[in-house]
Amino acid sequence: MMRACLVAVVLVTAGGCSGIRTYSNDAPKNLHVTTQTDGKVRAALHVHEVSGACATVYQGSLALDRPALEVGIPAARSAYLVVTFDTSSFMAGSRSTSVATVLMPRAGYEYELAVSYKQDIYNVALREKDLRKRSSRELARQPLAGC
Amino acid sequence: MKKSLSAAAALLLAACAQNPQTAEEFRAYVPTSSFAKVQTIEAKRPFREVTKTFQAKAPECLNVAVRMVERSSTSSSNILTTYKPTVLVSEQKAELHVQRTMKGNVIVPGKVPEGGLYYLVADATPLDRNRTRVDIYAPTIGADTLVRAVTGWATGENVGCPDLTK
Repeated sequence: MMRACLVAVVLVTAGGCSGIRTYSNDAPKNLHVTTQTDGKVRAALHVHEVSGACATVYQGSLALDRPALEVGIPAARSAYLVVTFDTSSFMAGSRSTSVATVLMPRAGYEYELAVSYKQDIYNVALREKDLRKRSSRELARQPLAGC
Repeated sequence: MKKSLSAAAALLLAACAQNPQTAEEFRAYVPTSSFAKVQTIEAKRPFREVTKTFQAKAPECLNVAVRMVERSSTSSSNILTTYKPTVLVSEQKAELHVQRTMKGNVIVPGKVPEGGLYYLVADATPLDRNRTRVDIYAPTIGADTLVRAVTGWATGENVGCPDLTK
């Protein structure tokens, strides 16, 4: 059952075929992602397009394996962004926690996604920057149900 | 593994006595249990700020469901744990209650209160204008990440969300 905008899933036995593919990332870069994680966790950003009926179409994923990454999310269209934190070990198997939000990027604005995961505590914060006014504001997570 | 221990600890808590049906019963029960304890911290923040953080972070971070699937050559289990946070605020006290319900290959003895078994209760009370006392009642096994997160919310030093798969 989906509750709110965040669902954490533990999969001790990993699935065989994940279907994950690399996001094309060819739109103008408007999302600046900064990442700080423990060495043991693998973070990734998964991009979905949102249709009018709130259905999602998976567009691809990017590994958040460097401190900064520029991402292009098409403006004026809703996207469903999912950040996942994956860990695996011999004893505990594979575990994944995810945070998701709907974002409709606006022309003339840029977005900052700050992702961190340290000692089993994570932060995912999204800010919108107005390039003309040089101001910014934090965006609350927007669940898919409210799109 | 820690998750399994956490589930086991919760069940031990439940099995050793009648399940606490209210936060008040949970507070009374924890000091008497070998599997739970009370931790007290002093946050150098005004009570109002601690309260605001609890109100913001509890629904954001704890309104989650965690599925644990384990398979081996001899057994398998599939347990869905759903967390339910509640924040109650009055003039002189803020309470964070975390309950959880487990479904699947799990037997929970005793009566489960509405909203699930009590898993953690944190009480914040003002000490003076700039300091707040927080008492955290929680299991000794498996709740470490959650306790650290609630402590971070209270102190304001780390307002991240706990990874409840750990």
